[in-house]
Amino acid sequence: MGDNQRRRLEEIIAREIWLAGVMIFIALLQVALPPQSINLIPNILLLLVVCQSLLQGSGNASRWAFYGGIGLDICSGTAFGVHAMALIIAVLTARLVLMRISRTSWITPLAGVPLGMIAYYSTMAGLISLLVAPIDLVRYSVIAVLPELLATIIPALPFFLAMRWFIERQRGAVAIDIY
Amino acid sequence: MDRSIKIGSSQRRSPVLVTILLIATILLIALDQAGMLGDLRVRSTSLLTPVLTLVHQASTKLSEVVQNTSNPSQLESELASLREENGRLKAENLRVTQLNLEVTRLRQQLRIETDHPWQLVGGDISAFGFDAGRRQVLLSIGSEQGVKAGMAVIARESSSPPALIGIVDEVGPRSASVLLITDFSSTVTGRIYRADSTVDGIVQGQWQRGSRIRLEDIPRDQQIEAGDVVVTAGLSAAFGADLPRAVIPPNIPIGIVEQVQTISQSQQAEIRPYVDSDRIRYAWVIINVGG
Repeated sequence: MGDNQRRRLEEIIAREIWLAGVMIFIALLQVALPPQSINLIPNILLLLVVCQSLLQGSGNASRWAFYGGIGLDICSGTAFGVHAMALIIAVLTARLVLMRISRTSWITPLAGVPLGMIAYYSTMAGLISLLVAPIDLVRYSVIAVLPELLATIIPALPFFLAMRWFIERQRGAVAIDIY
Repeated sequence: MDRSIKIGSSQRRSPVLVTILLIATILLIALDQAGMLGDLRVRSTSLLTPVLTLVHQASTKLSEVVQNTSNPSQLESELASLREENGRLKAENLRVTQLNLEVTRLRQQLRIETDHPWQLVGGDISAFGFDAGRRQVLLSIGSEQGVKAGMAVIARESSSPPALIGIVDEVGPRSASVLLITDFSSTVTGRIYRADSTVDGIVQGQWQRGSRIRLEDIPRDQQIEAGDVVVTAGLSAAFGADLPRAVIPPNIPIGIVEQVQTISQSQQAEIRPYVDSDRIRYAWVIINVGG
């Protein structure tokens, strides 16, 4: 029994390290994407964690958000935990608001991603104002939030469907869409 | 069928996990603001920077490829401008290489002129052995640069001292043919400095005889041995006579004695020249000897 528990613990740790590595790498990708070639860069990490939250639940997605957020904090030079907290809040918001809507509905990502993004940017704005300096909310919304919101909504549905297909495939189930 | 409404054990743990993670982020922010995370940021950044650089380079290249393939006319014009720039850079590179070479040669010349009382004029060797029967080279300098027949021509290889390679034979306005000292018809007076005496002889080319140069007509009672350094004697210059070799100054290194032979009443020595005349591409003519 003891051996089994230890093995299970080792497996959990290994899985968490693997997940952290992958999420930090995605954060690196997001930071490294050259803005000069793609003027609108989708917030890949946010998209990923919100879709994960809508599909797998907030607990699972929060872990992703935490690791990815730490990765973003390292890359972008913000205080440790700022991006992580914003991503977790985004995960929670999207999940809590859309809890009653079936994840098989295509409305889910189209509503969930903007909700998550608004929560994310609100948290970021609050934390930056609190920790660094007050920011001009109107300019911040127009210059930073709105373009990224549009850039992230566009791939939201295909991204969500691809993730759902992948999860269903892992479970051996067949996805049925309800429209 | 719809799994999202089923609440599994992992979903029941979700609020706890989310709360823990939120507390963790708050703690992290607080610790970071209090400066209690030490050099964690520096370490983590230095750890991720190489990966970040690689990813950035790869994504930049990828985006460039995507951008270029999506716009072939722009790609073509860029290619044309790159070709043009490439040609210009090649020409510039050639010019810089030539200038570097010239600087190196001028430095060498300056060093020689500092070490010796010679005034030099340097030139490229533009042709080798254009007369099959003779060992000659053609220099790209001539009478316009002050070169005259009979003047000594020196050159140097990597570690050798500046050494005699030949004598100016014929001079044109911008060219001069140089008879190499390895040619059989080349004779120069040579000298070996010993501790208590000097040994004089005639340095004659031996190329047509299958060798290089030889010091001949050395009296039998004079002692010479392998390793002795042979220099020009400059006897004609010493006499001040109006002879073809009168402008060859003394003490220009020629080579090293390799082997000594005694023939009846005289001796002769095989000499290994300091400079292999087949390998040199640039030489100097000694146009004047200062004090």
